[in-house]
Amino acid sequence: MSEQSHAAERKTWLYYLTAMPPSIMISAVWVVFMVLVALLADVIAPYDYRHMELLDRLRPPVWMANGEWAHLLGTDDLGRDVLSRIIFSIRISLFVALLGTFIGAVFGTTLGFAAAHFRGRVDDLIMILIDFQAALPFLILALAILAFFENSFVLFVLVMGIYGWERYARIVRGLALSARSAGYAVAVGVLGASPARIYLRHILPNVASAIIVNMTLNFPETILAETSLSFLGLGIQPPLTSLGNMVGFGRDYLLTAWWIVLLPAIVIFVTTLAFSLLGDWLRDLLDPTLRGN
Amino acid sequence: MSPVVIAIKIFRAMITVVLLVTFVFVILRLSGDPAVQMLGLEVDPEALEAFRRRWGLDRPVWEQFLSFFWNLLHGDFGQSFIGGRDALGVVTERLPKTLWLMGLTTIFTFGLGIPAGIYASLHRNTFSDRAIMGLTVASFSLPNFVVGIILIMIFGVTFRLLPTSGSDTVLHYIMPIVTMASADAAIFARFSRSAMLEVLYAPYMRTALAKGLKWGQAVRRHALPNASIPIVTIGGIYVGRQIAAATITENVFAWPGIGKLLVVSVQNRDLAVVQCIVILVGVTMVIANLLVDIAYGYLDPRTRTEGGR
Repeated sequence: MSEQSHAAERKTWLYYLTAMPPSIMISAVWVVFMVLVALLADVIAPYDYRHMELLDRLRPPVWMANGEWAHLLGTDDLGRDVLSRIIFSIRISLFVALLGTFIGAVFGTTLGFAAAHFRGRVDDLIMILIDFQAALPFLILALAILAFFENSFVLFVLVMGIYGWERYARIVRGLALSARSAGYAVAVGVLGASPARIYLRHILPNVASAIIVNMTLNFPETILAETSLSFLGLGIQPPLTSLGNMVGFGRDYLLTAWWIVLLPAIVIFVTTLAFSLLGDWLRDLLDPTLRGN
Repeated sequence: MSPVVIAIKIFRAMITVVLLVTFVFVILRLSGDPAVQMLGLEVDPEALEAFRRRWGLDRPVWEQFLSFFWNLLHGDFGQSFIGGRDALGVVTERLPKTLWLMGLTTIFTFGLGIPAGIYASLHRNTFSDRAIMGLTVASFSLPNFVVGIILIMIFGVTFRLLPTSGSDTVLHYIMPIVTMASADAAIFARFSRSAMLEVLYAPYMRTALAKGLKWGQAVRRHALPNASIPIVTIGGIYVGRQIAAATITENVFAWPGIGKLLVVSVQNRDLAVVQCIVILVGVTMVIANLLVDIAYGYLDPRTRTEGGR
């Protein structure tokens, strides 16, 4: 790359950074903060999230009467430090959402490419699968799978990976179909490149922005799906903890200890909001054709 | 839309239903011995044997599949753990409560979301437009269970105005409906806003204004009818979201409907009931998607001549 285009690139990034609306700036800061919390959970959490102090149960946050500096956000019904549990819940919820989004993207993209490449029967089959996915709300599908099989962390992550695969498949199939007939794909095909090479080295980079946009939009939805299932007691299982899990187990204490429920609920809300705003912004930025609703 | 196109659509819908039943059949078989799954391990061996014979588990797989399908067609979804009752009966008994909840929520959702979206579109880029759109983004990020719990906290626990669980009185309906409507009203607001924006500046609007109609008349006679067509297309997605929202909301408010039943059945691994609910939901969705498809074909004249595509 020449010196000049480097400069141009730097200028555009700087431009985008300064052109960020305040809401996007705040969202970005929050997202970075959450990612840091998730990465550094072991270092910053004051206690182990499983550590119980049965003599110190349901202690309110520090700013309330009876609050203690030892437990900034209070303790729960088993005397576990709420702040530490929130920190580890952020780690697990983000990790599950990240893995789930990634699995869905890989799975959906692969099927989209397969449909575009093989056409005919394979294409029909994949389209029928997409129809099928549209016929079963994800939550119901997830509940069915979790009912039939014993719930485990690995299974749960795989189930979260199913979420939204059909959107990747549909988008990628459409884009790959038009890319296949585009000059560059035909050219490398004539030069003797294998189909795998054409799709991975040449078509994938060209559809990457659509996939990334879909991933940023899928990510907060996956957080919501994970926390919802965990809230129902059918997602992340104790002793592991998730933000939804905390709300679910804490709801019996709404009257006496609201902080067990409300604080993780606020984190869920702010985090998904921040990711959604960033996703929308990124979509408008990268993919002007999707602009509109 | 020609009858042939409709027939093809119905055929595809039927394939989807068969696929759904196959899916349930396959994961049921993959997850272990169906007899043990359905009856539990504590049952005596003779009952297991009788169950295997009755469901033909000693026969080849394809034969089992056919009889599984055949039984479903006759409304035989197996037996629930709850007193060994017929699973379909257990489910249909809970159905009215859920349908009431969903029906009333729908009225509320439409009544709130669509006017808000239309209002926003007519006041584009004003403060109220931004406020409405901001609210919709925020409500997307609020999961149902959080809305429900916050409502319980405010109206149930702090002010003690509304009952927090059950479905006995009219008052019991208020919080679940608000919870379910909050997210979906946002969808309708956004969608009707963008549908309106698409038609407000269409050539026929310019024509209508040029021939002397007042802005309000043109909006009422030309913009609204045209904008209402795309709203039909989210009907299928809406039904799906309603089902998911009802599942969560019923569990927050201990509402004795299908959603609560589903979660309890998943927890107890009451597979006959789970399978029954999954198939009912799937069939409902397939019918909803089909109706939306056909309705759209009739409402939008452009798709009629092109053969529905």
